Amino acid sequence: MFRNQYDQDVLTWSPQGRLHQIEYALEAVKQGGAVVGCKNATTIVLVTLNRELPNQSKQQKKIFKIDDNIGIAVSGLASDAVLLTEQLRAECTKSKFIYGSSPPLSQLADTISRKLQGNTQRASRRPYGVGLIMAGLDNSGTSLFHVCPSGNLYEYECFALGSRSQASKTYLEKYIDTLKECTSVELIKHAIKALAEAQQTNENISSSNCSIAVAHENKEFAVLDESEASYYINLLDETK
Amino acid sequence: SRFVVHTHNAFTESKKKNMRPSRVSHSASIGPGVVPRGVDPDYDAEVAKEYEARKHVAHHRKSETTTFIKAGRPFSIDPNAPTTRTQTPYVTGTSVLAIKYKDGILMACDTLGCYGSTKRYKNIQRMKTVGKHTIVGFTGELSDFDYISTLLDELEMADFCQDDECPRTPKEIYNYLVRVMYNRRNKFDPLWNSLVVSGWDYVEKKPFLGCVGMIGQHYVDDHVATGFGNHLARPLFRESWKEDMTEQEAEKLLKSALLSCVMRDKMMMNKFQLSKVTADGPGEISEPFAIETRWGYESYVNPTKFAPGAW
Repeated sequence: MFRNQYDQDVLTWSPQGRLHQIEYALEAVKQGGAVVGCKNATTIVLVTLNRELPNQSKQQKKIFKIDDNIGIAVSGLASDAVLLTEQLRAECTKSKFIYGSSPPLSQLADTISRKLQGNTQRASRRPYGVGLIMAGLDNSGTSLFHVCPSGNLYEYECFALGSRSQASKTYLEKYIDTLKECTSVELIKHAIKALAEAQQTNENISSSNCSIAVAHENKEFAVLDESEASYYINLLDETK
Repeated sequence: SRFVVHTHNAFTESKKKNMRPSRVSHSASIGPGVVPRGVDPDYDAEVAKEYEARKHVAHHRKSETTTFIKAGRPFSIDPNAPTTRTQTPYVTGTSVLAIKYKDGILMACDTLGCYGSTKRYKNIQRMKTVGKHTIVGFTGELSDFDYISTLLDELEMADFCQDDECPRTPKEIYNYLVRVMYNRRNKFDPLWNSLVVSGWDYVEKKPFLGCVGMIGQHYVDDHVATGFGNHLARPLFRESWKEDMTEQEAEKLLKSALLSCVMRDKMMMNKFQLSKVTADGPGEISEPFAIETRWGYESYVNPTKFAPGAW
């Protein structure tokens, strides 16, 4: 797969019918820290595993609030993620200005995936190196989307991205039926447990390497602060 | 003619001084307002003189030297005059009345398009359904509402293509129209309409009723009327409207307001359509109907009886 003559630019097809540059971009996403997104009928949860940074540095930011009830968790090139956040927020502001309300999540996801696709078909641009889990509440209920650097859009009940995320996906597949019925607190606990699966064996989840964001029917999308995050993480210890 | 732009430049002033009648062409090949060569020798001489004066001037400076148009005067618009925009409406609709009731909104208007004072087009529908949940009615220029209808159709199409369970709510359509009207006002080219947006908000589970004017002024209320209805019908609504009326009560109130309007508004006719939006179905617009009017008042028998100096 690596190092062949058809991977110089995104405009070149390989004889097998593949665009290698896009696949390499997907690799960049796989190198990023793990992120997990879950939803049930009333709540959405995004949790991310942040890189441990030296004490002088503030914690890595992988969750971005897009609108009152919409947020994204990113994995991959952070600078690309910031750009996409700006574009998403601009779309929401535009919709609020013209129609007086936020766009439905599916529409937002469509718009942004079209932008990402544009970068896979231009000589002057490279594909974005970041994958998003976009989750939120709108008039049709809760939604969760995975947006790919290829411009593909997938809708999920729950999903995981980033390094060692396959283990998280296995956990989520096991508990998918419970996720639909459980309470918001249970949902958060499941999300953290799924994230823990993506860690190395001798590491632990704590509020210093984990960010949790929740949106609920009665509560705007917000990243939990350290004390709240610790509370939920400690709940897991209790059940052990 | 209504298409002449009245500006005061050397051309119009010289015309008045010389008291020449306007030159008209009856040549079908060239069209109206154009004087073909040979018809008016004096005009031809003037044009030739102009041409000589301008012949040696560079192309981009020609507009500075000339004060009138040379042969082949086009359709009565002076190209040296500034561009102007909509000044007045031509084919207009009069009032639209709308009230909220328990299950939705009732809206009523007549089916007349007036051409000035003439009751010219007697069969135009002044209300339009948008999607499943909204109806928009208009007062004012018919062609501008036609354009707005195109925009609303595009909104509906976008909703269809998006194919999600949340089409545009009436409030979103109302906000969109506010932005359209205000932006046109900012370009000094307004859409000469007052729009009534009525619909069922499927998110908040309530009826929605709002009004947008030609300069972007907008408000939401339990009962709305545009045009003359603002003066004739709204006081009746303020007096008699109450929360959670039944459909029969609402219809009765609307019809009494319509009677009040049609007997006083000279640009209204006794042929109405009633429209209804509720939670259940798409908005429905009724077939045209008339209401009973009474003209047998004693004062009307001899209206000038007490007027001094009347014959």
